Amino acid sequence: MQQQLGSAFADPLTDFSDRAYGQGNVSLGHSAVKVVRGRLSWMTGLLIGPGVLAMLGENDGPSMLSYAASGATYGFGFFVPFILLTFAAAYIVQEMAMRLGAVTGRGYGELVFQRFGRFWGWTSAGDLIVTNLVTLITEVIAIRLGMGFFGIPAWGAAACSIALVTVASWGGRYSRWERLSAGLAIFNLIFVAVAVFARPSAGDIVRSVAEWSPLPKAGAQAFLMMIVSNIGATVTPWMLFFQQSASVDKGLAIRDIRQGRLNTAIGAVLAAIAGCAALVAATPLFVHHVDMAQYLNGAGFAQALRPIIGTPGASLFALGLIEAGAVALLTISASSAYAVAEMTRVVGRSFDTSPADAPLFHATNVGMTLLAGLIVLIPGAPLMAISINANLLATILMPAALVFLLILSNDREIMGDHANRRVCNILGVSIAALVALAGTAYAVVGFLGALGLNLD
Amino acid sequence: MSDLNRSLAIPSGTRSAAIEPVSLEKHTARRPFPPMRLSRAARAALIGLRLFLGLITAMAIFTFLHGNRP
Repeated sequence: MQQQLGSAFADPLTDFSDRAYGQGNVSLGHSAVKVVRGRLSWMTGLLIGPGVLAMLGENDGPSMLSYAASGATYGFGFFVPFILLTFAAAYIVQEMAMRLGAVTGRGYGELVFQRFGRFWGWTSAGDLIVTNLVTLITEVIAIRLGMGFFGIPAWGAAACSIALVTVASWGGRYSRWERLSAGLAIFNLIFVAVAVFARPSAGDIVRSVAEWSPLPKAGAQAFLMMIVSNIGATVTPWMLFFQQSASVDKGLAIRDIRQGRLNTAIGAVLAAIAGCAALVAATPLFVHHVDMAQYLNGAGFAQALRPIIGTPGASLFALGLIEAGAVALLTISASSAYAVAEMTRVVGRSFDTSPADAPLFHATNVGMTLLAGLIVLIPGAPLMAISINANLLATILMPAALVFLLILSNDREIMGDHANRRVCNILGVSIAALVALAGTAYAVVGFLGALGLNLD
Repeated sequence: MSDLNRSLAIPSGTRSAAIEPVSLEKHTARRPFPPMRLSRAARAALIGLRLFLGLITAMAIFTFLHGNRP
């Protein structure tokens, strides 16, 4: 227990251990209370670690829209088990990132820079910044869609987005930023309530998971797009940068790896539940053959669902979109800030430093969201097209990040006994190959389709 | 832990940000890891992967722009 209390996962708000308050003469009753509080602290800490934040952060605006689009277009026959599979893959990848951070004490960008040199370091950071900016635009779009349902204008959504990231960045403590993000992230489970409003058949869901059927009847390009979009909704470059750097910022060490794994697994389970719930929530649109094209420029799925599941359910869906976008704004901006600060090797690269002490870190954190908010306000910008393609871009660029992750986590010079084991490598290489295959297949089929060679 | 990690004095196992005082030196007081020695084949494979991903990214961007032309 003492080892648990001494870990980086102990929540400082509820940590009443001797380590936090000094050792003294305490009665048996006090000791029992301390043990209970210590356990509470440990459990709270597990719930708000980088693993949970990375996983729930990746259940972002475009991801939830992607899950909902899968449900609205194909029902839950194929995609419920597929989403579960992608979150299992996300766990394997994120566990490696957490372990790398805990063992080396370095962020992902910093390690790539140091071990592979300037060129690969900047290339990785460049990929990250481009995908993050596109994804942040989609987060503001998601918040705009959600707030639009309640009549809030686009500029209000953009202003709220920028204000949220600014306020979160201001505290000068990682733990404060983490608690704020985790407090918002837990509302990702709102989608479970929306799914209840949709009144799905539990038997059909269980059957789809057990039999992975019915397979959707769709054209090659549309189906591949949905597959790639769902992969990009769970396995993305920013998650690697974020979880490894946040693990370092939180102070994870080798002794915390077990808790880090548990934290990541809890995140994967919660995110998978919320992701599947978003899909299930939108399946009434599939059942009622609703044409989503008429809702693309309005409040989207929430508006389309209102006549079917009622205003309370639709309102919750809109709130869920706002939450998904808000958490992702915090985590994706943070991953950009970590990457830029690590690559430029500036002194301040942590939420534990104030904006005055770490101007580049905090400026990147807020600046990325500011830029995304301004782009969303450009009249006539193809926002829905950007939103749909954000996950695709992440999937296409992910293999490069996965290759570096696999090389680094097999690097015994820096990982020692904590390097990958054979099973982890087989799974990691399989994931990298499948992600590359899916991204390539989509790009080629889409390209040929644009040239008029339709493979459907 | 590897010898290299020990020689770099990574404070693994002792760090804990939960009650650690805020310090600007937290992320800067460590010496960097030395560059990894990559074989020519490994370098060529990495560059090949990069070029391949660049190509399919260009194809995806073309598809995106083609689908959104006025």
